[in-house]
Amino acid sequence: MSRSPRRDEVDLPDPPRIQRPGRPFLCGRGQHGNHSAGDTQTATPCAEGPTIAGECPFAGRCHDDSGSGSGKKKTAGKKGANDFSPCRPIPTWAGRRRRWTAGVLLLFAFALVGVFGTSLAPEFVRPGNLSTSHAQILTGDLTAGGCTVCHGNVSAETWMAMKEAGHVGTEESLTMTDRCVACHHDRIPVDLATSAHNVSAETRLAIGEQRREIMLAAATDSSSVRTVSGSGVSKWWPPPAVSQDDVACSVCHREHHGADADLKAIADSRCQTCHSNRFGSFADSHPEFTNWPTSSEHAIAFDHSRHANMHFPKTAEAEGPNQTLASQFDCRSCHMIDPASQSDTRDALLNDSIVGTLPFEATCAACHEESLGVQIASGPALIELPILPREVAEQIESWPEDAIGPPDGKLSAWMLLLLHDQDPSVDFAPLSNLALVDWQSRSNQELAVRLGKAVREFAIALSIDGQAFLLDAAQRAGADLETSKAFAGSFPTQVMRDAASEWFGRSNVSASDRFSARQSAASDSLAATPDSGDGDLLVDWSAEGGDDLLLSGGANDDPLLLGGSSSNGDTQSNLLLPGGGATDRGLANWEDELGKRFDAARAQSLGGWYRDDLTLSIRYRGSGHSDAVLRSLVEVASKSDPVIRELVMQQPAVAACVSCHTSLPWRESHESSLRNRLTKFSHRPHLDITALQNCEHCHSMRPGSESEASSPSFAAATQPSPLTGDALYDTIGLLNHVSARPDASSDVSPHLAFGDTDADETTRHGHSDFLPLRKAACAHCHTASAAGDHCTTCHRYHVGDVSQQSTAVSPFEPVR
Amino acid sequence: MSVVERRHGGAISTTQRCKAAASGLVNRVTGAGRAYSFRRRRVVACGVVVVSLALAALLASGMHAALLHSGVMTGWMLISCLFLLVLIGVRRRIPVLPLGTMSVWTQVHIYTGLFAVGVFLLHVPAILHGRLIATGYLEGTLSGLFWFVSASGVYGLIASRRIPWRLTNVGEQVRLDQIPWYREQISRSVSDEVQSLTNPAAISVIGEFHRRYLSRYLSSKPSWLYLIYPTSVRRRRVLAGLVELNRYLEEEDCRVCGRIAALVRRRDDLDYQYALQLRLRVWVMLHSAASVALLVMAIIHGILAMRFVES
Repeated sequence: MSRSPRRDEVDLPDPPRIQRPGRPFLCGRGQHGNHSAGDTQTATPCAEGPTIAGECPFAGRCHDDSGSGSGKKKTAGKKGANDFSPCRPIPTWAGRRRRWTAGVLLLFAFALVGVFGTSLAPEFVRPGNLSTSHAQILTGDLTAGGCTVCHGNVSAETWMAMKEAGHVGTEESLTMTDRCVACHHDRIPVDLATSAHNVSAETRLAIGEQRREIMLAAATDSSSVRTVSGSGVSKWWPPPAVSQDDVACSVCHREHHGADADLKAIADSRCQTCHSNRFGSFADSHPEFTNWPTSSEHAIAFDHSRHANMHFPKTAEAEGPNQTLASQFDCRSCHMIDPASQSDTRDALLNDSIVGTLPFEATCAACHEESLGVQIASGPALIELPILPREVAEQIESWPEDAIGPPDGKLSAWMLLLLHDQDPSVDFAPLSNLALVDWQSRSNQELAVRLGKAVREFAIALSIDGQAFLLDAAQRAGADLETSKAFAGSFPTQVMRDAASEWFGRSNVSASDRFSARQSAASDSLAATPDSGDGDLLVDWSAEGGDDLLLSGGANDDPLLLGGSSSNGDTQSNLLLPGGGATDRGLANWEDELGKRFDAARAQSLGGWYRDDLTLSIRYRGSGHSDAVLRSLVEVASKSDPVIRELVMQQPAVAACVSCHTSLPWRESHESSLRNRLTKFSHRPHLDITALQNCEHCHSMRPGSESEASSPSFAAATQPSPLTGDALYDTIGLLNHVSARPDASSDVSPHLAFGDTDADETTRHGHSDFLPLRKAACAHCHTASAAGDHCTTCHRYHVGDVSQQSTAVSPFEPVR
Repeated sequence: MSVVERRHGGAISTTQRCKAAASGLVNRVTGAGRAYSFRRRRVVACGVVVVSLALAALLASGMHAALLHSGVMTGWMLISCLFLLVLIGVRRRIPVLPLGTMSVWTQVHIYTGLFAVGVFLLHVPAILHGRLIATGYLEGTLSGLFWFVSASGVYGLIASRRIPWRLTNVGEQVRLDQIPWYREQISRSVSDEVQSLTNPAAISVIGEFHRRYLSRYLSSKPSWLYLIYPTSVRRRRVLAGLVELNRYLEEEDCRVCGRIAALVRRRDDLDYQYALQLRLRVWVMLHSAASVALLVMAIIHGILAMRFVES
């Protein structure tokens, strides 16, 4: 048996020469059973081939051949075919490919037109899902505008309807940033929304200068403070390509990156591109803390070191074995964890109330309430008639005789304050100490006349309008409404009326009568008042003493005054009179008692207004801590002229206040300085670590003076040097008071220091009794692989102060 | 020779050996020092792509740090690459113009495509976090198209090198458009062989086999499954049937069976060539059509991005 032939030994006829594979169709002669054309193997494709539409050129000739001449046959003969029977053209690959490709692309084009021409377009072109917070607002029922809420260049109905300018309607001037701020204006100042850090260029420059000075000062102690910058690749980072005064929101916050995308995430390199000092990781090259948190300014001056090392041990020693927990110095006795701060809200993070102090009553009163009461006992005078020379007094209408004589004493600072507020053009400060005034000077005499007239007008106005006058005066001087109301509401106008009537309303009594001005109804001076009929209706001078129930003999029936003469004879039963025993004793000779000078310490020990006939004044005796009247006085003084403010602060009661409350506001304010807003810190997460629950782990109490000098960081901050010491404190103080607004620097700072306004004093009243925190304490945990060391871990970007802005009215309504 | 000299000499020789080894490794990888080779071209081109991608990444990083939208830069880079990639189709359709050889164009196309994939990763960093397809419809379609075109390009790169080699191994290469004609001829030849039989037993046996199996095999086109994954199963089954017929046939008739078997093998070769050539052509069609769609979508995306980007 012979072997079968190999495949390549099988002879097949050669393919037809005439082939056009690039055409859509091939001639079907001899292929695929197209044997009608002679039905032979020799049937070859015609030379002409099918048309582009796939028609055989001989398809119509069969019919024509029957009626036409032989011309067609000649033509067909030229094609090389032996017959004229039509074939069935075969589609080529090229033709099929073109048709498929064209079909698919046409379908694609129709799909695009269909999508972009309908209302599906916004949904189709949306690049990705919004973040959850935005999606729940923008895709919910609250807004119907969809894309138009943020994008002005799209129409809600059909995306294709956007105009050539790229914006729709009248909102074309609004950028995306404007639309962001339309909703976020409660956190971002509108006018500084596109400024870097939402602060003005002037403020940024000021911060930069101050930082440079601080770093230079700290660099003098090269052994402990390293001002490293530009380490590693960070120095090769390019400068910002956008203006720092035109930073759009979308530069950092990229939307449409999914529901779980972190809009606030930002690379450290983007933070540092604008900063002149660049560094790599926090642990390696972040500048050393120079004074953190020692520069924090606190409203209450509290020397932790002295209390811990001196006062508390002394108290504990005095208490002996019976000492209580309150006599032990414990941070948590005053600094409590506020449960409200445990939430991770912005406010909680901004206001770390863990370091907030408990009120005075809970922390300080046990030791300081008694001494405070003594200090504020000598109340300031709201109005006090100055003793003027006769030649001056004669120029003032009805100036009391008792207020005439050799000038002596000082003018009431409170009165000067209100007088200055009433007429700021006149400055009575040169007369503040009457004993030191040159009374030979004509100008001083004229000023004294004006002072006397002003005091008289002030007294009369106060007598007539009373509380309304005081309320208006206090508000005009800068006190807030609540404090002003408390102040004005406490004022007894009737006392002022009586005083004014007595001072200016009748003939002056003799100096000997000064102590018996309210002596008794039987006083002859009352009956012999010649001015009682001069039209002064404030006081019915003609009234007989018997009409005055308080002063008449019938006063014996007054149970308020006659606790000792009550029916039961219990002299201690009158609880309304603290000095009940004294009253009881005074009953023996009450007329003499009333003839003496009013003793506020005895008869008005709980505080309040009273008239002092010795000094011809209306005074106020403080009722204790947080007295509303004294608070209003301090608040008004804090916004007053520095000279007058200084005079007010010298008043013992006021001095008692500001010795602790060195600056306003009274309590720790949530309003932070710019520096504090730039740096965020929350105790809450740190206290989850056991080691950090001991406050002294980070807040080391300042050691003794010997140790102070040896502390390098402390020395760097306090030792005299070209830019250290006071200069450094000054710089720190300035930095603390830098406002986000350029014009705010001239305004009253929310933290206004009283008295010695030097920044160093303020700082010493802050955290200066603690050693500055070192970077190493934080860098131990804050690494890239542990607690994180991104810039935004500790620093905020949006630090613009919106507290001064009214959030009730939006600058423009959010676009819907 | 002193100890010092020997040590010195030993140190030199060690250094020289290290240098020689490194130089040899470089020469082996790059083909340097030898005649021009594909390996050398490949290494150089890959090096250029890697360096270009590194520069692009550096530029994008710098722009990102400088508060710019680096996506705009990478987007423009991507769309430029797409235009360059699509131009190869234009070049193929205009062979008369002196625009360089197709080989050069192909190389440029390949490495530009690789570069575009790298730039795409820079353009869409979310891919590095596992999100291959964007969430939006437009961008999801766009990223899907990009990955499809990229994947088909990689497949084409491999197929364009493997398939011609496999086609060469089959034997005589036939143009795709001529394969149906050859199929027809083979079918006709088999019919002629069957009709040429004179032995009644052979006519009965072979004719029956032809009627029931052969004619169906020869007249039908290869199945979709065969086109996707060409195998010799069907051919072997038919040939096994023909071998089974031999025991019923005379020697002369067995010879006819042998010729028929050769024709069956020829037909199978044609089917194999058809499947591979069709695979190449379908790939080109899909790749080019998807590239056009990708370019259109990319242009739309670019217009939208430039309209909505704020800074």
